[in-house]
Amino acid sequence: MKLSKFKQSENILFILFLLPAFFFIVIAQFYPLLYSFYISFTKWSLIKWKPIALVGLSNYQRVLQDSLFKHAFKISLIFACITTPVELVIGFLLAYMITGERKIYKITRTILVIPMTIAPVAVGTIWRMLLNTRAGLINYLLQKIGINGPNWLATPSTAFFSILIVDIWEWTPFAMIIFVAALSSIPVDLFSAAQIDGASRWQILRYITLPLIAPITVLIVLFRFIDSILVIDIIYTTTYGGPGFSTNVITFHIYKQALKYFNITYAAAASWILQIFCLLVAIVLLMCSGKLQEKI
Amino acid sequence: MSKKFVRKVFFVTYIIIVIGMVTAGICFSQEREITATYMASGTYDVAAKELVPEFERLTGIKVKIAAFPWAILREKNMTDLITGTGKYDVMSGSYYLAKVYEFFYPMDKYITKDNYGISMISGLMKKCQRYEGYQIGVPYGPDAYSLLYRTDLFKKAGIGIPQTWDAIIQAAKKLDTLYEGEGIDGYVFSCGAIEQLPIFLFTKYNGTFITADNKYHLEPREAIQAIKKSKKLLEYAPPGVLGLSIDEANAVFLQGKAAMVECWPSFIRAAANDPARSNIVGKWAVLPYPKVGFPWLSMWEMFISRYSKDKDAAWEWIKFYTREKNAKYFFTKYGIGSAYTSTYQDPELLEKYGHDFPGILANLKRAKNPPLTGEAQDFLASTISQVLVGEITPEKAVENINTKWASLEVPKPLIEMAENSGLKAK
Repeated sequence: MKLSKFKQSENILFILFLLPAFFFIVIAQFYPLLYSFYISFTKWSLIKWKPIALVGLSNYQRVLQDSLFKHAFKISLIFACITTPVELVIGFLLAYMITGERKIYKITRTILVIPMTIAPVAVGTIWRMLLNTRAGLINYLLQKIGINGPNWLATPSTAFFSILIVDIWEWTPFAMIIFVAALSSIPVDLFSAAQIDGASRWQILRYITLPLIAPITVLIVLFRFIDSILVIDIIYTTTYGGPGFSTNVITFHIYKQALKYFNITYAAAASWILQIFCLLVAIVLLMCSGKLQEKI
Repeated sequence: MSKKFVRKVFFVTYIIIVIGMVTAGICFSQEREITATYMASGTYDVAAKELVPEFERLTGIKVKIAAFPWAILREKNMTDLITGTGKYDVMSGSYYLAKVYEFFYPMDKYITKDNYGISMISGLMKKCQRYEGYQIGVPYGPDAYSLLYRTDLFKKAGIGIPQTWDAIIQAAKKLDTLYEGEGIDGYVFSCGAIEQLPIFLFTKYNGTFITADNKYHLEPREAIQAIKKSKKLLEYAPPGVLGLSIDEANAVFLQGKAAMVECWPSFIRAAANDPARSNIVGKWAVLPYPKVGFPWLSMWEMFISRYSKDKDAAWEWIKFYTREKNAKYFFTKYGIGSAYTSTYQDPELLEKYGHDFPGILANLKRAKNPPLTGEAQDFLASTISQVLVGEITPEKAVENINTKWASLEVPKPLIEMAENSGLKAK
């Protein structure tokens, strides 16, 4: 009897300790989220004061019928579908080469992580200068070896290629560092046993390393895919969505609608469509990760 | 020491502290301070900063200058007004702020009281933004997009001043061929600065922007022709023209590598006349635009926010910044266009800028603000950019623009502005 009373009071104490954090999260995160959900069903102008009127799904309909939204969504999907696997593969290869305790590995890892530690806005600005057609370092170096550098940020294809390069340069270290941690956590005994059994390097990689790091790989895919869908900083600083609409990714489109043109209800609806999409991607990938973990 | 004495000491100390705090509070609140926004261009903002010490000394009003790049400036101003923050007392902007005109304070009272603007270029004050009949902005740095050309190259090639766009295209072609060996191109433009691209339409489009029922709409035939002509002109531009920023395009002209440049004169004037920065000193002039469409008017205006806590101080700053004496100084030092007739009649300036003034004034006289919201103008710019990079045809571009524009609401002040400037269909 006494014990259960003690447990009860202990539980109340836990709840009391949790309450401040709980309220903080509710206010700081869920309130804006729910509020944006609410305004996505309304007609409301930030500029002209009029009572908020509920309009059902018409904002969602407007967004889904908007060719600019569809184009921006497509651009973002292509962007994420290219950058994620490239970052994953390069990140893994780098990690595979520099996992270990030797000093040179540690130094290399530290150097390779630098791009990730630079503010994305600064990364965009640096690359914009590097990619400058007339005065950029890249075209200067290309010219040195007899190649006429392209107009990196001035044509749709090269501009898109440029932002891919910038994102890959910045975020491959993220994949690399997680892979290093994953590779380091595989018990050495497994490799020793495989070697004794006569397994080749490739067989060890194929049948031991890759399956064991598969759940982590799925997590990296999840982080990088969603992050790539949400990219905005490098677009803002390098191409500003252009030329034309060729790099007008979805978050940049939403940003302009909300904070440049103050079409706040449109932007809220567009954000929720994006949010739901990201949520679905996350659910599918987490399920994959869970299944892979079960297999292991 | 008795308790009574200690109590008395505490009481007196308490009173002194309270009086001190109140006095400090009064003194603090009496310090008048305003913040003014400008575009970070290295001209308007720098000129403003230069004036601050003198203004503070004369008026005792503290001024903070907040400078932002153009796109950010628009956002900062609008957000401050919409949220009612009142952080910025004086705001720099123009017609693209039409959505938030109601948040600006009417200036008529100040203008009348101070007889403001009587010596400005005739009609300039009338071109300022209005809301519900009240004037809400006063002008500074008026600048009209212009076509600058190399007088020496034109003369050598036997080309007179072209009167039509077809003649300009022909001139660009001739000059491009003639001076190819010297690495000189016929024409250059900052195509990489997408926000500048609407000029391709404005100066060559002989139609309206708003229908009789107040919807945005371009007359397809005229608009397609205008875009096609601009694209044609770019055939005589240097390789890489699609990526050139404003500074880069201007630099091509300053280095003597292009026979014509289309630009804001205020961005290039000071450098073009400076032998240290220019190879074309004394070899250039401004071409009056052919009489179709209109030169894009960049007339900066200063507005007072309705949320400003010290509107009188804000007006004092506006008056000080835009006074006649400064206009001449800013013109000479920073190349900022002057709103005053006297600047363009000044003998000293006429001697130095005589080649520049006639064209500038001709373009300024015909210059207009397009009646476009930020969203409409941005879409126009991006769509023209699509044409230039070959993604779509001019026909498709105009179709896309009209489709998008049909979904946009035209703010009332812009409808009035279009009516007054002949850009609305009857």
